[in-house]
Amino acid sequence: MASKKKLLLIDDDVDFVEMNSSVLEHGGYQVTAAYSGREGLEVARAELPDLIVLDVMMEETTEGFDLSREFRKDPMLSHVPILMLTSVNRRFRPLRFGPDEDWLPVDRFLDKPVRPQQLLAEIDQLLQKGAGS
Amino acid sequence: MLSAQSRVLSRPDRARDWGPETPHKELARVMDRPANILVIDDERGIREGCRRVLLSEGHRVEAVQDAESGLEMARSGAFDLLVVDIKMSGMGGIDLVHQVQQIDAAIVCIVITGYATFDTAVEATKAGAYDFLPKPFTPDELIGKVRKGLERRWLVLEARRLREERERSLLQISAEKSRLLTVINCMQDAVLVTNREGQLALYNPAALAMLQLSSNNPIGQPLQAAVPMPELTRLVDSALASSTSPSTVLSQEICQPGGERVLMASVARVLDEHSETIGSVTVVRDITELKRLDRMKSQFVGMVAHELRAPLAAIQGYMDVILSGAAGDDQEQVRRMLNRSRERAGSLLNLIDDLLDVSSMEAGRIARRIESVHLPNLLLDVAEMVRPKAEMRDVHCTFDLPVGLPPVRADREDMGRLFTNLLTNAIKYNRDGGSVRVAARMEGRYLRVDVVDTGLGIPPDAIPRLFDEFYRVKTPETRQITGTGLGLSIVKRIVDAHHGRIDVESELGKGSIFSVFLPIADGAMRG
Repeated sequence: MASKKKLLLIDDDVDFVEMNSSVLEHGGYQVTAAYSGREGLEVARAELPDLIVLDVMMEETTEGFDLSREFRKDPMLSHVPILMLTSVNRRFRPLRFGPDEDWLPVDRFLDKPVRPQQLLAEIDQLLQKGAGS
Repeated sequence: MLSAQSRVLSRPDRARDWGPETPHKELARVMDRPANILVIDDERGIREGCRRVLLSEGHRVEAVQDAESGLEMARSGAFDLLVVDIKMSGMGGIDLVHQVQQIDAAIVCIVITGYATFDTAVEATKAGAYDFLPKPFTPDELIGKVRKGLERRWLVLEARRLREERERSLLQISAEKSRLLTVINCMQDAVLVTNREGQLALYNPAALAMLQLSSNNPIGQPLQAAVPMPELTRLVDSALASSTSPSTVLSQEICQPGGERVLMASVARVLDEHSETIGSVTVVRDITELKRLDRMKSQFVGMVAHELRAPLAAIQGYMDVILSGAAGDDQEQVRRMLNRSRERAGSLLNLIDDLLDVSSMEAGRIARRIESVHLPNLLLDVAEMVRPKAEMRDVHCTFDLPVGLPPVRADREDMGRLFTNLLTNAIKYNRDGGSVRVAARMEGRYLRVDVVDTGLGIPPDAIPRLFDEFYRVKTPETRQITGTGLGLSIVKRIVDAHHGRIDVESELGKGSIFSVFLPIADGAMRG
């Protein structure tokens, strides 16, 4: 049996880290958590996760965006799929945004809260896509 | 007795200039009104004769026998017309006429001459006499000359009145104009007036700075040369070219080129009495500040939305996890999730309360009731209220509140809110088994209250943003602590509204000191 896939959760909201990691761990993943952009980058470089779940808005409004671009620039991490979560209601988004190669280089974009089954399914799909290519 | 014989002297008839008759009834009425006449003659017979004749014409008549008293009476300004004998002992008639004319050239002087020669006529005319009455003369001749003289008098007075009236209204117009100019010059809004050709006709000082007018006299220049703002000049041009109703005002938001100012320009046509466009008036207002406030408001709404959404999303997320069983059925874990959900719900309620506090503070000071507040009592009440929280963390509270501290001028509710926030923070961000010390003392004109905790401390780079709305210190230790991010911003607002100050001193891992300075009540100063 293959070793467990490593996921990195980056979110400054302790409760989302708690609920998502318990779901993902129960779903058979190995989960590491980071609570800020800086910490997230450090942990990602140290752990080299198979997928990153990233909150869009941490202390700085653009922290999630900036971080996703950092990952893409890092040769060790550029291929790691990113699932971005947001708690900003669609109507308050300054721009209509979705995954964008330069500006927002993430693979998937979901509104918080994401139902456990959907979260598992999305992650599963992203990991398979990554493995297939 | 007056003689009927008379000789007419050849002389310029000045009265004819005005025309012998006037078609205007109004003027005729004015012309026929009774006058005040002074007769000056040392010959009693002529003096009295003239007086009787003129009285019978309805005039008021005085008569004196010498030039000196005549001059004195004329000086009073009460007489319209003087009948003066040219030859009198003492001051002569010519001299008198000359002096009277100096006093008021509108007083008509008729000279009675015994020897009508050309030279006398010239001399009297030079002195300012209006007409001659050669002796002997008939009552009709006297009446005729006086009537003509009075016509002259009334016309001169009327002309003088009209002239004064005109001068007065000119003064009024110029005062009106200067008032209007003052109003325009005092305006904070820029004002530009152009003629029909779009050339600048008027501007005010505000326009100079706001619209960056070319400094070397821009009056008379085409607007696009005077104002380096193509958007504005286009707006004025389109207003001038339009044929909409005069009350139509074209308004447009304009960005100042090269500057960060946002301007709102309003242009209207100016019409003449035939409804032809004769120019335009433009008023420009700097709305940068309004825009900034508007943006701040939107930002605030966005932040509030985010802050409201986050705890609800967390609660819903936990519910989904529990209900779906996606995290297994470990009862301890379920319990933990439910506890966290409850905590997030509580923080949501707190957030709503804090938002209401903020909005009541923004709404104005109506609700604020300033009175003398004795802080030590209030601090003990607050401590009592937060005691359950302290006991939960096993945090011990001590007080250093000297007897005899003066009261502060403050709103009691605000003070309660302020210290509840500070004490709650001191407990929340403390370590288990830590302590909170509340100490008050006088410092100058202020009462100083220190809230000292033995908690986590605040990173130095977080201190400048500590009082910002929704700012929360994020460290691994604060992660589990719920808060609205509004508490300290409310504290700051309250302190500012009471003309006080708040200082923060903190050492990471050791604790923080929040020091509040509040002005003490007037009359409470000692020494």
